[in-house]
Amino acid sequence: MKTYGEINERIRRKKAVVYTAEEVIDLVRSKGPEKAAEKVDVVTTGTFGAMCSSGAFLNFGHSDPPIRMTDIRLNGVEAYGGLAAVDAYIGSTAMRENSGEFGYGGGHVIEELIAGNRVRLRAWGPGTDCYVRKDIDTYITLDDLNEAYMFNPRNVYQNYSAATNTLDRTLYTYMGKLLPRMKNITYSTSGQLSPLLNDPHLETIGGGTRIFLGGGEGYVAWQGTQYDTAAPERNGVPVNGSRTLALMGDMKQMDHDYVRGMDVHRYGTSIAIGVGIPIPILNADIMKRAAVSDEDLYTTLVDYSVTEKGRAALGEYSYAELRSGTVDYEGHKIRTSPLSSYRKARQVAEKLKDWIENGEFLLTEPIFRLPETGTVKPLEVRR
Amino acid sequence: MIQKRYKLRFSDDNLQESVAYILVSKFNIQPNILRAEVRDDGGVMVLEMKGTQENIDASVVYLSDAGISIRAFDKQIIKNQDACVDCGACISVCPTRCFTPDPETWEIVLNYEKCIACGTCLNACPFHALSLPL
Repeated sequence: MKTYGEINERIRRKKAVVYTAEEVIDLVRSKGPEKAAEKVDVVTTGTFGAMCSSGAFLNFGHSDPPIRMTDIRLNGVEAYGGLAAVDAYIGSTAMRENSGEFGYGGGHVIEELIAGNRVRLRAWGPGTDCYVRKDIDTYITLDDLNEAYMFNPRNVYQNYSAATNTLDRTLYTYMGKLLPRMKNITYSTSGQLSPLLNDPHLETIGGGTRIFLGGGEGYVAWQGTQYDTAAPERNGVPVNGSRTLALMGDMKQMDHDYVRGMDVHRYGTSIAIGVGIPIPILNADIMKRAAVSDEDLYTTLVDYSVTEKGRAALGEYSYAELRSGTVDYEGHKIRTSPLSSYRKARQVAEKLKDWIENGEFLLTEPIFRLPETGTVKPLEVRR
Repeated sequence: MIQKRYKLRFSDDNLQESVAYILVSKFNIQPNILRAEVRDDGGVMVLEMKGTQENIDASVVYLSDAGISIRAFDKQIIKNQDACVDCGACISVCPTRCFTPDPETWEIVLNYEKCIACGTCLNACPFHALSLPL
């Protein structure tokens, strides 16, 4: 048994023993969870994939004369201006109109700001006695902004169903290009490295947990939207989409290596973000769960040619099977594609490990626990 | 026997040449037409030739003399390494299995030998990292 305080003391003295969620698998296999828990202080996780429910609050500062911006475009992408005069929220899936063959959206704007690029700001307002200006056209950079922080209502989905397509035509979905007649399967997770798969019941991750977000420090702000605890489990871990986190972090600390705009063909734009969460190894149970491997993690295969409500499970596959490149479905071999980058996920976990080993990143005990129960309600269409 | 890939451009004057027949009958080449299209500015063909070095060289000279522009085409798909994040969305859509993850690093490696320039992967990449200039 260890406490947060003891672990942080070891981090401060640069004596903490840190493993990534991938490295720790073999250690726990050979030593057992009790012995491993005595040795290891922190396990770092990582993921890098599409997180559509993401965006950023920006404050532009006041021009002279000032404007109350109600209609705002950043590189042609709409940002929400229904806030105070020069505050805005830009969401990852907002798309530039007429962006042509290659979609350009909020995710790209956020990426460009983080990369230090100039972004064109155009805004219009009603013109009032206190905000006389009615329009503005200028260029901004991240440095110019007073504040720029990501606030992502739903990130790091705890598991996610794999997708296939039984129709006789190609489907272009947010789960990627799905070839006809189940010719391929896509899945989106870093599996054994994934944050919420390594602490499945959120024993250590909660409100206020300090994390790696997009290359900088961030925090868990709240439970994510569509937070669900009702998913069936296998080996103590949900087998489809379940818990989620709302995350926030300072964009000025971020690195565009870990934040990339996406254009998902015929779906729209999104953003890929690198997220890493440290798991303090307080006891052997936590150690055991953080050492879960792709062989023991399963996901459900669903058909994206039918609407969500009618989606029957076509099967369950382990991430080891999915990651092997082909899986067997009723005697047929189906090829698989990951949609989240395992290389980047590993890079995130390694980077977070470096920070902790160098004494630059202390762990936080959650200020509040996230809900133990949560269900996702459908939207009823009423007349 | 070696195998080489070329991009051929045809003008209005030679658009109807039966390239494959000539290659087989004159030069004992096994041709494999990977792609052929007629566009506003003429025709384009991506052609794979299998044969001896000597015969392939002779074919290239012959086609060139016939007024068909011919050049080596061995890196059909261009991968922008800065844009690529190694997600792997391209892996399962490629009919010839060009994309394989390095089992150690999980970098997605493009095997140009297998690429038939079909372009199926292009719109599967959400990071616009792949292009096929024809």
